[in-house]
Amino acid sequence: MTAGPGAYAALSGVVFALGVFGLVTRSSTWGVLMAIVVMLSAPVIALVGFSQGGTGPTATGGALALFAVFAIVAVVATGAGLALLVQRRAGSSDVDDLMELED
Amino acid sequence: MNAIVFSILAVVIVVLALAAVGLPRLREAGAALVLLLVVIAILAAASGQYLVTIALLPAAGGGAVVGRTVMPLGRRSDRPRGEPVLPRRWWLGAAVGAGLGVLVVVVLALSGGDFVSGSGAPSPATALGAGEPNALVIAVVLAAIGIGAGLLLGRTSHDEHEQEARTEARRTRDERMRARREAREAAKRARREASTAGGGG
Repeated sequence: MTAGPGAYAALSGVVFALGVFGLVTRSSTWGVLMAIVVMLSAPVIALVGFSQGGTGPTATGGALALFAVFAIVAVVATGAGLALLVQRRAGSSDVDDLMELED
Repeated sequence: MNAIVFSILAVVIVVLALAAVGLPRLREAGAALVLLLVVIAILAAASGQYLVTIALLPAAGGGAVVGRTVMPLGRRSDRPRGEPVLPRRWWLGAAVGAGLGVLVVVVLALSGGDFVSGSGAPSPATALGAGEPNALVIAVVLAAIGIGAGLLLGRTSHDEHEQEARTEARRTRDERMRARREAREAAKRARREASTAGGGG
């Protein structure tokens, strides 16, 4: 018995949902960034699963998954830089504290 | 891929994702996230996508280095002391996460012939293609959930502003009452001193 693309997609959906949960509930910018990475890793799982379609691994799903990995790297690099900058300037990494900067 | 191996990897992935978004200590959550990326890389390798594995492993390593060097050391916990383990808005996160997760499952897991325009094979690129009634309905539901989530988040923000205003009003009232009490006590003290001085003279 083999796992088909549907199983990968279901796993991807669960991981994405957990990422959204973290995104809404985390209060630290680092926590939010990690939740976004969890969300972005979900398509990688789904695309790896889609590359399984047919008789063997195909290049299309793999190429898209590679793009998704590059997106994760870009998000982590940019997000970590921003989180660090905000933390240094505001003295806190809590998003609730950052909201108060508006006043 | 073997279903048993996939099931084991899937359970590990879900547990690590849960740890990455749920652990209160940021360092531990970061470690769980790095492990999650490593396990996804293993999953990709087991599925024959070695390039994805090769790309994911340095990403996980880079993430570990970032977490080790720049993550805040002073405030290790995402959760202030005394706060409950579950965040106050857990129900909102759970609802939005579950809704979007179900939609992702529906969009990606449906691979029937009616989900694809034309006679080609189902693929993620055609999953949201225009002209398909299913795709249109899913797009409408996605938009509705997005608007609902936005409204919920906005409402929460509005509630927080209202709460801040109430707190500020209460603080002002308390200050005013304290000032009045102090003024009364000062006047009483002054009267007492005056009567003592009058009795003595």
